[in-house]
Amino acid sequence: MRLVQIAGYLGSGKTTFLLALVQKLAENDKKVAILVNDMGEIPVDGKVMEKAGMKVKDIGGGCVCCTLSGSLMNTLLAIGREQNPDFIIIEPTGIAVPKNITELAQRVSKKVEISFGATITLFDTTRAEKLVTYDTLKRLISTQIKDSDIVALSKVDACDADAIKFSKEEVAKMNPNAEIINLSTKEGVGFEELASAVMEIEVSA
Amino acid sequence: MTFTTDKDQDHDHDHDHDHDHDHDWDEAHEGTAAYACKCVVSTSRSLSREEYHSLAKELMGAIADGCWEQGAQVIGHIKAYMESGDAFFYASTVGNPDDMTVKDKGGETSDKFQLTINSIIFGIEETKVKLATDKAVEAVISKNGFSLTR
Repeated sequence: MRLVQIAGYLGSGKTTFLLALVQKLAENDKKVAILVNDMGEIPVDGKVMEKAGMKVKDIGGGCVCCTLSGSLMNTLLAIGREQNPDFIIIEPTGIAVPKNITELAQRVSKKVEISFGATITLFDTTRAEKLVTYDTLKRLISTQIKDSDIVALSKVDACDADAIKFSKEEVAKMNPNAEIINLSTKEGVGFEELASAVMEIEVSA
Repeated sequence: MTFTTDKDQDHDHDHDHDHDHDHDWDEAHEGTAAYACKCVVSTSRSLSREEYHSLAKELMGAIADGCWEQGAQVIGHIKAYMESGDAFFYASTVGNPDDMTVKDKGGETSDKFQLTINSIIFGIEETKVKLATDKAVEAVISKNGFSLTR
């Protein structure tokens, strides 16, 4: 199974993108397992996906990159052994560090076959300036972006050209090697490109 | 739940991976606090889809305002869902009134709904997130003439 992470800060549009992505993968006859991690004690994102008709493995009440790392590894192992899907899509919390999740998955890959797809991080263009204002927050955002193969500048339908330009420059400073794609899941901008990247890209772990 | 930095914490997990105790999350999670709550709201009549959408927006806005008042630096994500009868409503905000989402999966509503809220905020402690969330929920529910059971 190929592991794909849809990362990004809180409220950046991960769940909305994931809902559309999973539908696209299903249309292409791909078997998909979804693992959603909510920071709150009562998960919300998983419930929304279930209501959209998706079968979801929900881990709540912490972050799978650290406090719930054991749950993540056990869940990956169980999914690999019991379902063996074409793709396992992980939506971690908005404060997760993608590299930590990759490291944990690498450990699991010694027990079940896991290949690694693109790590995609969403960056909310509508809050770009705010997200890089506070040092602590900027470090988190920067870490998430550094760990990514692709950065999607999300919600581009809701902001002007200057905000998109600013976002692109900030992201490029944080990770000059990442591919940067404009995304509006709502209006379909960049969606096909990202969906193709999920289906086609395999990276060496 | 509040994430804080504790550089002295024990790291007693296996080290078959290649890093040097420089866990990025030590700092990455600093400053973010989450609070989740669940309650049942009696409305005494069946509300329409439009009324649910309006109520959801009012709740999201009030919680965000409360968190700003408590000193929040960034509204990470406030999200909620309401279940009434066969109907399901989902709402979310990042603190910008122009970027508030309410979606629904239609169905018959009853005279009550279950409300679940998850507020994740940067820049204030969990106690303040809880205070802002609980206070906003109570105020909006009361203002609309409904009653709340936790």
